[in-house]
Amino acid sequence: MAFRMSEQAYYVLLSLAEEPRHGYGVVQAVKDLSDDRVRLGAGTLYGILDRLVEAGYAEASGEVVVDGRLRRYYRLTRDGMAALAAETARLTDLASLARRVLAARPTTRPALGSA
Amino acid sequence: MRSLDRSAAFWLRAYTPAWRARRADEVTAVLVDLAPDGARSLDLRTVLGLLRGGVATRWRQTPPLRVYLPYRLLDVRVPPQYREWVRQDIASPGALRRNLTGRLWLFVLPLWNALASDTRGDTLAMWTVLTIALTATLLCVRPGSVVRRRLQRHARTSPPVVGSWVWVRTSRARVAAEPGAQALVLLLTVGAVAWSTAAVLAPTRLGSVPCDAAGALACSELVVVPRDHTALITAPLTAALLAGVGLAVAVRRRLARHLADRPEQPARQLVGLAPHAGPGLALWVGLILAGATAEATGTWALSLSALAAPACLLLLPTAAVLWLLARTTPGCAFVDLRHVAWTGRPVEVDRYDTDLIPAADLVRR
Repeated sequence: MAFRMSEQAYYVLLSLAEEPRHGYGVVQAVKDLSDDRVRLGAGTLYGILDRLVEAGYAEASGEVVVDGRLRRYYRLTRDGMAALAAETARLTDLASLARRVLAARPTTRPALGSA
Repeated sequence: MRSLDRSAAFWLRAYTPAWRARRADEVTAVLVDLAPDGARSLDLRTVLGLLRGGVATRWRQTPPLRVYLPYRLLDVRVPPQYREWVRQDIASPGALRRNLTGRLWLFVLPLWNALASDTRGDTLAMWTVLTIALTATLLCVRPGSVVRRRLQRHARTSPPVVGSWVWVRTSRARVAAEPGAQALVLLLTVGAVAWSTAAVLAPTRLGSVPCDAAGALACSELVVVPRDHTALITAPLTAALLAGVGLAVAVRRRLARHLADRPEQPARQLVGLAPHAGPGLALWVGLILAGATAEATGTWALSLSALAAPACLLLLPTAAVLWLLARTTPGCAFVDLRHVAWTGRPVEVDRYDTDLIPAADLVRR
């Protein structure tokens, strides 16, 4: 099944591209990367992580127990890095296109004519 | 456990048990980290996120209807991407209920048709007997072996990994010869005595009489008529018993020839009857006695007894021989007796069975 790249999933991939992180670390990283705009809940985060693992884009890389709590770390796979690069290129192309369209737009609104 | 952990555990029930087994600990840690200091339960936004995530996870892991319905109704294999789902479906609690519910339509449709017809009373009686027979049979089957066979059919993979479970080689469970033969002798004895008695005593039988249907060249219908004499049934019963004794002598020779030099069975594990086989056999005995009584008293016309009584008398001496030999042949499986008796060939060496176990258990081994 094709992986649906939502904005939140893109941020999760970005956060894992920096370094392997555990669930809470991903939430904090996404919050920082998005300037506090995207706040992932646990339900959303693990839905995305499940899909990333199923797609082969991420994998568990280790576990530690801190204060009796399990922290499982995730890291990007080679496919995950490629998917992130492809999505970034797509967004870059899209942004370039948008810039060209906006640049070509007349600065003054043309008259629509009169009835 | 803190109240926040209890709250998390409660709302994580939105996810499947297998998902919780893998993830509950780490998700709980994240939920605790994200909760404000002093929180005693999850807030509404988090709860809604878990509910949505749980439903989405269940939806993603469940096969679509075009895959689900053939699997549930007709036991068709599901595609490889749903092997983990099918493993949970077969191996988790409630699997028998789900399996039977899926097959229920096989019984409900004909029953519904029959209830709408004139023969409602007879149909209900017949379906009651079938239901009891099915229950008795299920009680005699070892639940673990049913699960294993279904997993082998539906969740066999290459490489042999299903989610966090792996296929491993294991011993093949075989019912020991003595309890198996004992159960066979019990059922055949009850059947032979009860059905023979019913066949001799039954006051009515089924017979055909001509009918007058307009336009038909020949017409006859099946009706219940009084029995005229019993010699017609006692002769076949006696013949069946004599033939059974002859058969038992031949089987005895076969077993004596092949059981003495039976091979080692390194892949075999001998087991007793299923844990609930006692009640299952009791139900079968009750059914046989009830059916025989119904025919002996004329409630039902002579029908089943006419066939079942000779069959039981034919097989009973052989079963008795099997039992006697089983008692003096330790380490023998019932399947060996059946194989030699039926084919006359030497005992075969069992191949290893396969079983699906959690990968963590494999590491511990």
